[in-house]
Amino acid sequence: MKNICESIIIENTQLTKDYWKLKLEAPTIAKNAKPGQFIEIYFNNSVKIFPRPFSIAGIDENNLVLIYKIVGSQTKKMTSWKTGEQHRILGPLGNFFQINNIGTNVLVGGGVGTAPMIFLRSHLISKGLEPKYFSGARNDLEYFPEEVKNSQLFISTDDGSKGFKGNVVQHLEKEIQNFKQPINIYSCGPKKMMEALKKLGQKYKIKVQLSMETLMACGMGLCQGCAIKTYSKNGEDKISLVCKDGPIFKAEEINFHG
Amino acid sequence: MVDLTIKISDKIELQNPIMTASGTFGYGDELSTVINTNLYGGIVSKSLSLEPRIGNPPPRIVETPSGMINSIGLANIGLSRFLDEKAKYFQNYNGKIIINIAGKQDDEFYTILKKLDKIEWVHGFEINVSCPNVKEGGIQFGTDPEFMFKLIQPMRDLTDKFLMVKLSPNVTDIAQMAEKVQLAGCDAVSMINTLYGAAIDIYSGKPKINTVVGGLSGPAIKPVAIANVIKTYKAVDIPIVGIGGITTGEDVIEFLLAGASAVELGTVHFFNPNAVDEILQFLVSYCKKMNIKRLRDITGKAKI
Repeated sequence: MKNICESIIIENTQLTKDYWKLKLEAPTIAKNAKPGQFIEIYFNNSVKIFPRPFSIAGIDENNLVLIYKIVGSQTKKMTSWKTGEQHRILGPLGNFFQINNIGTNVLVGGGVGTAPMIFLRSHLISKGLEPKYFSGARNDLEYFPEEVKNSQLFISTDDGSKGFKGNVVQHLEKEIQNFKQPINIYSCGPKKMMEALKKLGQKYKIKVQLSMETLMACGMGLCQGCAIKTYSKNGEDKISLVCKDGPIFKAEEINFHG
Repeated sequence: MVDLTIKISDKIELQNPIMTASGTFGYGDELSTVINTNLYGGIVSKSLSLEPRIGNPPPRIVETPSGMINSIGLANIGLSRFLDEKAKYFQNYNGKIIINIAGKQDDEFYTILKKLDKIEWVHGFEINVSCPNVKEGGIQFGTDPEFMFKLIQPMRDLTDKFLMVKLSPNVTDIAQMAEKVQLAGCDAVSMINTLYGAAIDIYSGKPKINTVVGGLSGPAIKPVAIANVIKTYKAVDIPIVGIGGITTGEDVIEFLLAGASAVELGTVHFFNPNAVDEILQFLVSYCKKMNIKRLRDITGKAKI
């Protein structure tokens, strides 16, 4: 059940040039959060009024871990937040990834979209599963998850400065023949990447779950602003709310041409 | 002890003047697990139409300085599903329930009104004649005084319940619209709905919302709303429910002084869902500080 609270900053550290890790004490949210869900952070800013959504990258007892990238003035502001400060948050929000216990679980994170994949990976490992994790980015200046036990990590960069040269979906397609069927893909990243994953899923008949992103205001279905075009089960055009109906959708539900 | 109760006409008494603005609070029950929704004097539901509406295609919202533009297009689940799914929650709700009605033609308004008039937990109606985001009907109902009068006059015969009309600021003279509402025998006016607004992405050259022009709301529009309330308070005797960018208790007092009997909180729900709690605390402390026994006594008391 979602909850509003004054979270306390436990840690806020720089990971790479633009990536930061934020640890927030928020016991009720931490207790309830599942991989794929997100929180809203309130900024108390009278000019830029919207809260901002962040995927949960992990749970550490009473704490939430976020991985955020500086993309605008609000995330820039966050880098100045100090340990002990309080910031109001709302969560956990949205639906979550549906876990498959058989076959191979493949996680695909692009750019800062890797954040929810880190949470999902820990979760799968804790259930005794051994996920394959594909992490892709433009170049080696971006953030890549650390290697951990019981999970294989595949890194790619567009410019080849780290790992496989090419995009993360090309990398996955190169490796996919080696994986035990059935394969389940879970992903979060740029729209183009997720569209390519949808095609890959169709080609190899693989179930793909995508975490969608869009401009969002309230985060809980009040404003109905975070709409995206989707398809119903019968293939009819539909509109879904990322905050409430998502952020996780089956790939076949998403209308990328809308 | 400070008395926060207010009457909007003889038909409806609220425990305090704070209500929710349609379209910013879902159907009324969504936030019930996050905040204490019983704190409100009343809940105004999302706009209801007879049949479900899918709403406008994305993008539907954009953040603008101290505000936002929306173009949701009155997406809603329709009357039947609303009654089926929400009755249980509202039957147990402490405050007053006002249903916002949005139709495309006269008949749609009347049909919904007739059906809801019989529902016990519905305490009143807010008629949406002013949505800027619906092509058919919407705009003309809200901008042409005679056209609006013809639409709302028959409503008085369809219900004895509280009947309020929500007015658009996108008119030459909002007071003239309010006079028509009074003439039609309605109990109150609520104002203001959103202002016309648009925003363009300078890199793609594309409008930032699908319908190009949408409705501007949030703190940015508060001064426009205050000006319209002042003007309307002078023109009509029926109560005014003030809407437009209310964020704090101070804002509420300003609306009351301008002439509002009650207010609706809107966009603030998106960035401070618990605003109602903070506002009520301020109202009590303000009344104590200013030695006001009954908050309702300050309506229209701005020294103008």
